[in-house]
Amino acid sequence: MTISPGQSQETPRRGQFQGRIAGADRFGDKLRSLTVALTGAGAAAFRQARPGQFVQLSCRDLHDGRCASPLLRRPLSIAGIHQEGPNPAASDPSAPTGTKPTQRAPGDESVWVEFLFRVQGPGTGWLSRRALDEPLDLLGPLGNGFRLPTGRDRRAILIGGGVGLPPMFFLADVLSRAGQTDIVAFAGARTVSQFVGTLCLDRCEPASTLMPLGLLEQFNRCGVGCVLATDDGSRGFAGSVVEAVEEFLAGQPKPARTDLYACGPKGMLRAVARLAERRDLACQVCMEAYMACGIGLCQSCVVPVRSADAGAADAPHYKLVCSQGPVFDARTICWD
Amino acid sequence: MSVRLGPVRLANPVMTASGTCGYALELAEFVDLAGLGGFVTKSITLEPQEGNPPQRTQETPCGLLNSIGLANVGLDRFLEEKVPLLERLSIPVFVNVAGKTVEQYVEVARRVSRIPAVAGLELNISCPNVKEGGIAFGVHPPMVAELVQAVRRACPQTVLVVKLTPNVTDIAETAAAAVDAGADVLTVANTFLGMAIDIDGRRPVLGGISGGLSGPAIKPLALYLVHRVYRQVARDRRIPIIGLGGIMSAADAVEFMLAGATAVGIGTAALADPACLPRVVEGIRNYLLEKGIPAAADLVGALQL
Repeated sequence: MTISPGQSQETPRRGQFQGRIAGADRFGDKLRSLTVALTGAGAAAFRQARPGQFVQLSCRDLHDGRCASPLLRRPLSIAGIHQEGPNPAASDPSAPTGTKPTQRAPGDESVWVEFLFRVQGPGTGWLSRRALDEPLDLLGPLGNGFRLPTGRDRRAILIGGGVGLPPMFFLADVLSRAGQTDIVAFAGARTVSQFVGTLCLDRCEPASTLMPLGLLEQFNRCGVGCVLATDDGSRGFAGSVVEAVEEFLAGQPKPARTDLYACGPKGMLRAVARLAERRDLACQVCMEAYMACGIGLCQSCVVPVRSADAGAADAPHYKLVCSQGPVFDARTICWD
Repeated sequence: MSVRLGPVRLANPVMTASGTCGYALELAEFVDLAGLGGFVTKSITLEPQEGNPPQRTQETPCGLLNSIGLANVGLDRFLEEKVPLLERLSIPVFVNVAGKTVEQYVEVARRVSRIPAVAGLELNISCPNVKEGGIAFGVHPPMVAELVQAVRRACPQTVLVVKLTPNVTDIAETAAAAVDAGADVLTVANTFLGMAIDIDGRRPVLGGISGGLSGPAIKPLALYLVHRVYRQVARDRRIPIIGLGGIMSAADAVEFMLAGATAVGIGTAALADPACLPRVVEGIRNYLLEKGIPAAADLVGALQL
């Protein structure tokens, strides 16, 4: 069962679109958020975007033929699709508090697409220097996205590590809008300053590090509690996010069905996949791979897979993360 | 705007470059291919190929290194699944053919050339010849001649484009060998061999160890090769050249045409920005209007020395 016919496994419409930057925030040293407003066909395509899908953002002036660096686009997961623009106060500290979000004019079919990223190199550096209202060229929405089973007595466990957290925000939003109530998120980072989201640590100190609380604003706004885990123990559960999930599950009565959704570094995803196998839980993983085009042309972003149901005789073969993923059934990935 | 590649008329000089634009379907979602001069498919081999282990590409300053390993669905699935889509394209389609032996090239060429919707074959001669210890067909003029002759004999009526490798001492020699053996058109050129090293792990970045460099980083190198092949071989024998290597803009395309290319291929730029394909077509048109040049073909080899 899926949430709606429009969100079936069919690939939604996609294309190359020009957006405008409607929100650009920085939090922490290297973390940035961008909200891109799309109209017309772009808005129509992104209204159907699914959690786990991504875009390829151009990080140079495409109309200047002499401007060739960075040559390739940068893939970013969609962190949220909004029917309202961002609150200007969030981007402009001088704006009066309580400013209302951008109001939609009658007939305005705009959609706002949110991204969260870490500045790591020339591409994300270029993105981090964009100002409000500048144009941005993007390809998307790309990839397959998570399949979203719903139903009674079903628990969704969302696991995001490092820069793999943003798609989980989008997933939490879509699942909660679909009426799923049992959603618990786990966010992992090396250290407390590295969470790719807005921390609300002053709000409450948990009695147990494994109690899901409103510690990340992006989960908070869709009513999803989360558990933080840091490798260095600087906040929340001390250890890997997968260990946190494992301890959490051990202390809980098992619902009829638990779905694990994970995105993060490969080592984390491998550990999630093994946990899912041990506990016999459904598990979808959103994979990363070095990508050039993002649309199935260049054949760069391969991961080795085998079919989930076949026996050991099934030879591993490659699948493209950009167009046959990035979301895969964890059982199909050849982890070693 | 139209140009001729032998008997094949292109509505304008802008084509896709093999390997960067899939089998058309993938790109057709992002750009209207009907506005291009021609489409060149990804390389097709007799058997399906999984391709090289990742990492398969690496961006370098103004360039892209790739070691894909000719990952493709193989001839049977190509004929069954991809050709029906290519048949719907309204522009001339060239199918790029690769192989490990002369026999493999001939077999693929023979079967592909029978498809009515195929305007011509492009031979990728940069592949290793397994019977000659893995040396690329395209680096050794006698091997170029043997391969092109064999395909020519098997497909006497087919428009035969030979895509030369730039990884040779003198490309004029391999160009002449290809033309003497029956090539109708030359593509100049392919990617330049290169590599990248991860200094922390002390390992090659690419799973295939070395790869081919494309993108604007190679444009001056490729432009010179077009100039040389045009002056040394193609002009006097009236062999059209498809020029490619790092073309990002109409200005780049015009440079290649002035150097002697009849048509141009766009590859890496289209990977990053599908919309650059129609933009280059439009830009060439504007250049011709601005300069009062009546036809795109008038640019070909019009470099003044």
